[in-house]
Amino acid sequence: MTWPQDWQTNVLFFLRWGHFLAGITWIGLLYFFNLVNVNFMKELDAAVKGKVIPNLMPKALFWFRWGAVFTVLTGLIYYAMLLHTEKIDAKLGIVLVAWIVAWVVVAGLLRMAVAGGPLKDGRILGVVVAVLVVAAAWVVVPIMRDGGSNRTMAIAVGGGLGLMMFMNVWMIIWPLQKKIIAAVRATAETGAPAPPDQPKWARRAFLASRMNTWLSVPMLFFMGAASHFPIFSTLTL
Amino acid sequence: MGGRKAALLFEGICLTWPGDWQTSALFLLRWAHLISGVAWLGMLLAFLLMVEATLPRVNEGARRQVEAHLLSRLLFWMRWSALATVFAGIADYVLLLSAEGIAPRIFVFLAAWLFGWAVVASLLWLSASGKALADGRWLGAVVVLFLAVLGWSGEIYMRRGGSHKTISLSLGGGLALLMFANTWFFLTPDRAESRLGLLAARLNACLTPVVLFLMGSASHFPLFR
Repeated sequence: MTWPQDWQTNVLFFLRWGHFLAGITWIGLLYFFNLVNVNFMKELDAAVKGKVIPNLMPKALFWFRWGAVFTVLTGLIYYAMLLHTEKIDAKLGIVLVAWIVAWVVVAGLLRMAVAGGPLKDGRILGVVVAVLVVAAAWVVVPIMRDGGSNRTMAIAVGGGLGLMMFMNVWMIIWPLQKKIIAAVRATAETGAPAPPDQPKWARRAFLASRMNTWLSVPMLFFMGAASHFPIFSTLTL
Repeated sequence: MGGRKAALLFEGICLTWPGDWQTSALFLLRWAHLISGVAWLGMLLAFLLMVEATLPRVNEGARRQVEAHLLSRLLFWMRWSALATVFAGIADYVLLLSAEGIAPRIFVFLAAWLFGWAVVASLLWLSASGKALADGRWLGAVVVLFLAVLGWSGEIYMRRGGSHKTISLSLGGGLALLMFANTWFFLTPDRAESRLGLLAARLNACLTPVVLFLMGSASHFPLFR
């Protein structure tokens, strides 16, 4: 066994390892919420819900949201280092802005979906979000192509999807879950009636969570493709 | 006009699917391996949070509902995503081994780690039934020592003819195989909440960082040779 000696290989690999572990914590719990918990909550008596939600959800959500922070932080540092070796550091800002703009649109769509109209149908919302995400990738990839490699282009897409998912967690899912947990606890402890908006909070949090589950599939594709699948040609036409 | 526009869009994004079937097969297997692996380990973490932090704090009625509706579903996804992960992983590993001309070693690999699991399972059983190593710390120390010896022998065996990549995967994949057997034998609905099930789940959680280190190092950290 020989430990690689240069510091850059070490730093990059330890960032990657942390990124794996935190990413599994985050997305693994996301799968738990979507594949197991959503159905479980439908089958539960209200009285049992009052016991289980305040006991289970805060802990699972703690690992979930801090896993997301650690995943994104390690990923961003790693990506900045890669861009630096390709001498295109400044493109980090463009990628971030493009995906943040895309997310702002998505967040607006989620609000519209809860208010009613055609987006109320989850399938239509899904198609609109898919079109939007492809469009964002279409903007980002040509910008990266100028000077970027397959690796940095693939991460501009996969990492961008991850960034959107991160904002869904911290700007939508977690703030709404806090309100839901407090309301369920209040109902269980003092018998206070559920706030009239509670179903809307639950619906919007659910939509963001379900969106993240779907986005995780292409996200992992592009993350893996960065090192293992040369899908973006760097030939100049 | 329409054709010209399409060409421009295509030039902009410049997407090319790699042509040879082996690159595609390896990568699609890897993708499935990633997704199902994330699901497996996420379910493991959710399981531990549930049985260690939530179930002790709820009453008997709530506990029964959690077991019937949540735990059984969680364990279902954990078992089957573990199977998908291992299946895709072994297929990928066989492709890699045959590229290095040492495909038959897959059988040695499987036999060695299933033997390793049998030893670890016996240790877990001894500890859970209170016959020996009842203290979890002693159990952990013995398991770590045993796995280190097994891994060391595996590394010496693979060094002859294997690349850094296949050596690293023989260790990470071997530990993952052991976790898989733990999942299928001990994390079943009737055993998961027993002492044996809890020990198996905790062992899997402790092995996870090691497995991921070795999995990642296969392509990104030349540790062996």
